Amino acid sequence: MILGTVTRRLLHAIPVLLGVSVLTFVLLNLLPGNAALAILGPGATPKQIQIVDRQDGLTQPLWDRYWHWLTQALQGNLGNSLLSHESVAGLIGHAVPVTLEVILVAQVVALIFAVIFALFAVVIRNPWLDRVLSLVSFGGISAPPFLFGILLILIVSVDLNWLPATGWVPLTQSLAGNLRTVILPAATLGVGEFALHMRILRGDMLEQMREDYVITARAKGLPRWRIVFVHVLRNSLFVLITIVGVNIGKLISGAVIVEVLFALPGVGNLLINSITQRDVTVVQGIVVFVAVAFVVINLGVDLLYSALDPRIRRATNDG
Amino acid sequence: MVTSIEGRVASTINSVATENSLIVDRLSVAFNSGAGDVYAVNDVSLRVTPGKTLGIVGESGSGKSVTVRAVMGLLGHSATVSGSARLNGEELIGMPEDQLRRRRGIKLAMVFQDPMSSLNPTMRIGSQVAEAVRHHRNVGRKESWSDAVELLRSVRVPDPERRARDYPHQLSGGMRQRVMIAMALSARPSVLFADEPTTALDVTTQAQILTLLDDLKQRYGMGVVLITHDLGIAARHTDDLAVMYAGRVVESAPTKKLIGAIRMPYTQALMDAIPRIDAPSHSPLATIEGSPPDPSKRISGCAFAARCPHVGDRCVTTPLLAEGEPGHRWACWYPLGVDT
Amino acid sequence: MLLVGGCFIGPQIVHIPGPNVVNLALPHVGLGTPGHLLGTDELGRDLLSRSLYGGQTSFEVGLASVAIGLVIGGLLGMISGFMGGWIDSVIMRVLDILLAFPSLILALTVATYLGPSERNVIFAIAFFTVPSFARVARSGTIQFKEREFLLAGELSGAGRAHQIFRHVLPNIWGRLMTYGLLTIGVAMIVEASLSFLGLGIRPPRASWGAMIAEGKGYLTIAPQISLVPGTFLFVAITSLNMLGDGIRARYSGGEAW
Repeated sequence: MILGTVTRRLLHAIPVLLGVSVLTFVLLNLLPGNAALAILGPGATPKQIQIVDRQDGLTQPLWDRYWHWLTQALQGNLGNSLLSHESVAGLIGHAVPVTLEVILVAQVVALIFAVIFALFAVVIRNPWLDRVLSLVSFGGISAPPFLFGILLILIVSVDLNWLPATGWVPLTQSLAGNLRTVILPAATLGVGEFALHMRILRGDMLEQMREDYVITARAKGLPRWRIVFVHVLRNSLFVLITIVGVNIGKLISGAVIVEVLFALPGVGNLLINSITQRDVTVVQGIVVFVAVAFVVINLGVDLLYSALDPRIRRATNDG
Repeated sequence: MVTSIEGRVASTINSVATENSLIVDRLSVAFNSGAGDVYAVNDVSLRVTPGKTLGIVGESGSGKSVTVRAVMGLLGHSATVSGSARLNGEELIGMPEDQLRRRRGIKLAMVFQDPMSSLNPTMRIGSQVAEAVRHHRNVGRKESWSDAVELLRSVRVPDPERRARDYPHQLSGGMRQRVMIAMALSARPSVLFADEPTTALDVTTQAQILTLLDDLKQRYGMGVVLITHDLGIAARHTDDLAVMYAGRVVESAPTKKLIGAIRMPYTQALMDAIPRIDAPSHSPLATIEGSPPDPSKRISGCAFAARCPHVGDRCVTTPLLAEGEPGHRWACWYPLGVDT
Repeated sequence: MLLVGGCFIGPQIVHIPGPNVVNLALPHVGLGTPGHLLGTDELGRDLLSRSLYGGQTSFEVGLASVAIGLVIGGLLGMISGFMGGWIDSVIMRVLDILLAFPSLILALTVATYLGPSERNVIFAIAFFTVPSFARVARSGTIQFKEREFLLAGELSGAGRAHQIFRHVLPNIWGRLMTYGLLTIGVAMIVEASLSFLGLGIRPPRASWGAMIAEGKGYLTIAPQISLVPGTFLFVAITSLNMLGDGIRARYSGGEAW
């Protein structure tokens, strides 16, 4: 049953998540830069540092602190920021919608364009179109996201003055304003995704065109576009879903950079700010949060895959 | 396209005489590979009449499938097809893809060897049959689906309403092949090509499928082309036979006549290679010595000479397919049972 | 290749101002200015010079981190694949944890822990390349382990470490190197990303990522500050990818990564 698969996968994820939390906790708490020093400024006396340390429980042994943190985290309490004393969960909660929107828009738009262009390339079979597309996808895969972002800012914001280069208007405030602020970041993040998905989808569709069932479809007298749209695309989508799953890590990494570049109040920006300010609890909270999100999204992709593929669907029903 | 004037005249006469016949005349197929042209089919002439089954027999690589796919227009861009194939007097070779496509599935249909890989693994079989129905008749989804169910019933798929919702991997090999046949029958084609339709199946299922094909041929009056490497199957389920070797027809005749008096040594070798039920279970399967010639090389003389037990001096020149007895043609200098 | 040569030899043969020579009289001049072919940045530092030196940094970091990742990952993978059993499970489990994580966040965490410096950036990047090298090495090792000559070796009682180096390493070397070449590009992107975020190479040392970030504030008046190093980075990564594609094509028929 599907439910059994979910449980098994979640159980499988627990050691991974524990490992990630231990790793980051140990790394961050051995930081050479002292958080108290960061709070008090460089002129702090050792005595002041000690007081702050004790306040934040930084003097207890590492293991006790981890255990305390973990039990709290399981109850949804990720502690408070060392600097602003706001709750970490709250900080993340505010930032998540921004990051999520950018990632979702980028991924969805990239997928739509990838499917459209790959279909075109396979149906039309024009050598020039193929050449242009492979060049575009090669460039898109090679360029780090911030490079394309800089170009976009330069052209769309600076030269044409169409869209703002930085800032964020939440969806709850204004739909149009939100769209204006999400387009460039999402485009920056999405271009690499588009290039990768398009390339893989096109390659797999061309591969599928050699399958026997395509000859059957041709023998039925179906037109080429119908064979590609109905038969081949259906089979190639599974490869696409797999790639989306594999690429989630890269997408999250890219989101961090894009948020910094466009000054968006998302999780990535929060992470970078906390790192530079040595706000250890926030960094720890974010890293573990991202790890959990990563596991959950991957599980979702796997489930989607098995829900769509009739071959696997049966296997899970039987088992 | 190479068509002589005589050929054209002849076929005009033929098309008047035989409605819905498929007449293949001196069909050749060359594949353009990097290392030079590969001649897969040479000067093959065949005739398929409604209500009759033509068997094409030969080892793998003898050009059986390529011939049929060339007629269907299913070969890739690397293939050069010359000669003629007329269905109901209409020339198919050289017909623009768009027009040929409209005849595929409607006038000409095909069943393939491996029904698992030939069905789309991610589509319900009902949809795949219904898709064929919709292609030739402009009907809605509902109607095409119920047509699909009826088609499945007509090929004796049990409980077709439920089976139509299944995916290919949920069916047995025999059931899958029935689905393929249902799909091919959706438009009542004039000619049905069955390319080794039972090779992937066990013996019992084989017999069922072949009997089904016989029945359907009778019921719909279509011409059937049965491609097989098994002369035994061909002997039982065909009306006419053409034996192919190295891209050429080497012997052809009405099935009864041919089986009764095999002239070409290659046909005899195929006959000897039929597995016998009465043979001791551990006796080695008789196979034909040697292997077919490399199609990328032009052979001078008889292509079978190198493997032929009756090879003689004259075999260095290519024997032509000629009518040695009324209705019986062979391409051999030293035919069996005939004094030369 | 040309670019690598250019970055290391270029500054020696062509007379250009040093990368950190500040010329406040000539801030952000455009392309083609005499003496500053590709212009200058906000402090009047020569962009061509800085880009070439930045390239040195990028290639150094890319090569060094991949080399470290390859050695550690390769060793772990070979041990894991060769020993099998619980050692294999433990090693692969730990590496899976590393692999199952957004690489940049991981590198960020490690870089934060170690503090920004070129050496630490190298370690941070090497850290996250280890798991994938280990996987490549492990699968290769397992394949060759199943061959007969290793069975014979086991019978003769040869030392395990000896066997690994004698038989397994030469067989998976090509695969590791190919994968390494492909990873250099990734490592360079991560370096640029870290530096872009201000958590990698520290100024005034030139790095493409850091230069792009510096130029971000001057896009309206002097876009070349970002675009010049950006172009260098793009060309470098693209060439590396093309090289990798070529090599992969030659090795094709092998296992897909």
